Amino acid sequence: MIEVRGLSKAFGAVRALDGVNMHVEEGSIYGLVGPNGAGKTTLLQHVAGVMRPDAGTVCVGGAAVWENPQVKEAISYVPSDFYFFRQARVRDLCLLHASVFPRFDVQRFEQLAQTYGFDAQRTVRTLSKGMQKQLAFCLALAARPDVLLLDEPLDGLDPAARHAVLGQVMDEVAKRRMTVLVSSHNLRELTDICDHVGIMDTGRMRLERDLEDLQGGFVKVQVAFAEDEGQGVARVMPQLDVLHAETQGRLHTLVVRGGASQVEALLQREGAVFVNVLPLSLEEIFIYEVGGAHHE
Amino acid sequence: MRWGVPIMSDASFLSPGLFKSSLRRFWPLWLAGFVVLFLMIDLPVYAVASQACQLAGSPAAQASMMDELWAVMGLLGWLYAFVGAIVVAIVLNDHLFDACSATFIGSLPVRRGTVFGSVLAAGTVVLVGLPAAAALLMLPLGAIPGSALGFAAVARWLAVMAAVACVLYAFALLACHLSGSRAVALLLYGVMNLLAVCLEWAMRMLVSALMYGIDAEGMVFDCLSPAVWLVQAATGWIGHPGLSSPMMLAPYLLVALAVVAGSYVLYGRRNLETAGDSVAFEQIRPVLKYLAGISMSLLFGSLYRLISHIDMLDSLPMQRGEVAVLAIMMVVGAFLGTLFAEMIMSRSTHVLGKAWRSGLVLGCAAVALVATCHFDALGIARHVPQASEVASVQLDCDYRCRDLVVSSPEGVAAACQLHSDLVAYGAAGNRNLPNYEIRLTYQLKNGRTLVRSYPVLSDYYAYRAGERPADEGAWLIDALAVIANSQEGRASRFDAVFGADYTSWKLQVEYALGDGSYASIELPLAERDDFVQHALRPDLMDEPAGDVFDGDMGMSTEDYDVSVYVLEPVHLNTNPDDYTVVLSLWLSDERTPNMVAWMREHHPEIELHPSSGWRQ
Repeated sequence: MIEVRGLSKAFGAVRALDGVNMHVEEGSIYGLVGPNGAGKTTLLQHVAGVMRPDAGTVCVGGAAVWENPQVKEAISYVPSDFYFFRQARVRDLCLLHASVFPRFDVQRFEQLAQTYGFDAQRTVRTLSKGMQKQLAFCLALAARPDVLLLDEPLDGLDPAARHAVLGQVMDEVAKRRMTVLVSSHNLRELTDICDHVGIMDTGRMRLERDLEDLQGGFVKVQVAFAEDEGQGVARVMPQLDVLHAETQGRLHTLVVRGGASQVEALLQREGAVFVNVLPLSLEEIFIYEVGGAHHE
Repeated sequence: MRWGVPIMSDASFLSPGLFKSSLRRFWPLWLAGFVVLFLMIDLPVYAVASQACQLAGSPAAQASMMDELWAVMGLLGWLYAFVGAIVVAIVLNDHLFDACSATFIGSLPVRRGTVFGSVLAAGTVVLVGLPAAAALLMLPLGAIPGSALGFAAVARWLAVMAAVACVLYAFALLACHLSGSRAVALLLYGVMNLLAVCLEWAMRMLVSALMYGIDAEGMVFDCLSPAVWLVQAATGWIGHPGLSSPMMLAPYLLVALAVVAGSYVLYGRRNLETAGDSVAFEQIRPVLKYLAGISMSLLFGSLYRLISHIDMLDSLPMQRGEVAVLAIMMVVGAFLGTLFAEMIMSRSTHVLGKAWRSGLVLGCAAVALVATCHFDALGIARHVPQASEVASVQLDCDYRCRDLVVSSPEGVAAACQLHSDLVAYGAAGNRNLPNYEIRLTYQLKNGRTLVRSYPVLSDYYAYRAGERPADEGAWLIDALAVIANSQEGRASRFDAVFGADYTSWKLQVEYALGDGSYASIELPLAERDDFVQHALRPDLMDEPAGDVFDGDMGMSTEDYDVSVYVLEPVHLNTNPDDYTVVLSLWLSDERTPNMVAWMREHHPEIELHPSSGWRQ
């Protein structure tokens, strides 16, 4: 559904995106994670057709997005700071979106607005930041998009609103096979909703994978050897793709790239007297993958 | 809850949704603009139009008054358009200055051209619609008998205002599209308009200071300043009945279209992420930097001229030492201008490394400009037209000799010779002497106009009185007097009086009574033509009364204590008693024999007492 190939973008001397490739399947929810300044928002804005690529292509449904209103009609973008005409009323915004987005469904907006308790005559500047975010969701979903782009979508929402918003998104995905590309720092919530994940760093896509594969590709293992002075762990380290290692007495904790069973078998073959494989969260994978001991 | 859905339009250059929201969002601002326009235009028009009704018996005076009123209205309307254009452009283009707004607009399923077209249309509707509303409120005045405010006049005003607003809005859009900062957009708009006026003024002043004979008032740098050009065109056109054809709007609209086309190209190439940046295109940086350097250089030069020379526009050439200081000031200005511009664009004070090269280039250019002008390297100041290429020459010298135009071969040859003598003279001499400004305005046969203005240092009347045996520039004034006192010179100088329509003028005679008091009479309309044709004209054309520079500007004991005034009404001032003096003469047997004889024949009641002595 979304195909990004060799996308590059520079702001003066800063290369925000450097040959990014990304593939998002139709009907999937794709989580985009990365440290600050990795280029996530820039990538989303390219997919939304806001920015013009310096190099590379951004296609949605097989067609380039830039300056292509037909493609952009099928895309709704909710940035982290959604722009409202502050003196406008909720009704005015509905009419504006209805006049610009051909697929905009006013009845659907009315339903969503009713769910969140918006008064049509209320001016936007009287809404709290969280309510403005909810309003942005209502407008985006009422446009009946094939692709929904969300940048830090849950910031400023209370737990109940988060639940409601995520529920609406999941519902649209289930009913209409809507594709969602979401960027967030809240990796625990991404784990709950995403089926694919891409990790970005310094303007590049470090890896993109199915979430289950991703989580299966890393293991955190606690291991102890009969030898006292660390000879055992020194022996296995060269044979493993170790992202992180810690030692407490005779107990070593290793974060290793690879399947759990293979790692466990290797450790036992090398004489480990204690092996305990622990599940690794997306947050931990992100921290270790981007090489960020400093992120801990 | 049913809110209704507007019908989508397929027009690719206009999104009805964006267009309507642009108009609706800022309606309080538009209302404020209308109130300002009403107070600035409609109310004064009401007031003057109602006063013009009092002049209903004098159609010429009324028409003249209304013409002057419309010229003022043109200027005020231009001020409204000048401020309104940039305000409208900035508020409607907030996506060029605000990153959130840019993201919103960029994500909408419309082409860039559609956004451009919608904003352009909304701004044009506002800038044309508000004057149209103001004009509608003027129309009822047309129904008042004798108000001289017809539909055609209002429509003409509206057409000009709309055209000026369109051009200025196009410039404002261009300024907005070049920048991502509202402050820089305002600065750019100023650079293109107001700053250009200052540049024009500074260039005129400096060139006149450096190049002997180059007239400060007559030079045309209007191409630098769209605003100056527009205001001159607008006020001139409104007051000019000969240019009432709607086709005269075509140049305005062509300029607007050209600038809009340039803006459209820029907008299409602009990246929306530049919202918030000082400049939207890197290529603008050197332009702004050099423009700031040039402006500051000229400003510093002008300031030096202001400080060193109180009467800045008198054209007295600078001394060599002054020229050196001027050059240094301009170099310093060039450096500071580029430095400040770099600071603004880089948002940093650590820019010396970037700015010094451009400062050096501009400094050298300033020195070259000063040297070129001072030494007249291009020969502009020394150039005297050939008599054969001149259609006519107007010569003016202070208030003593005005509106003197010669077009005969002899007259033109004499004027060209005077010009050559002035160039050779070079204003050398005692600078403490009074300064006469001889101004020559050539109409060349190829349609061009050439203006030169030369200061002549002379205590001329002391020289004529024999108190100064050899005065430095007196011979040049003598040469001018020969041209001015020729039959052709006299005819042209008094053409305004002889050719006037006297219906609204006054011809007044003031005379002394035997007891030392004064009385006056106004010649009735029936006598005016006879007086002008048989007394005033012969005296001015053939007698010493028509001379200029005759050595005596006051009344002597040979004159009678009787004076004749020719008075023209002040049209814009609604007080019917306000007149301006066109001509005043004391009667004497030697200087005005025809007027003395006419008075004796037609008004024997006027006593012709000899004057008691010299007075001015």
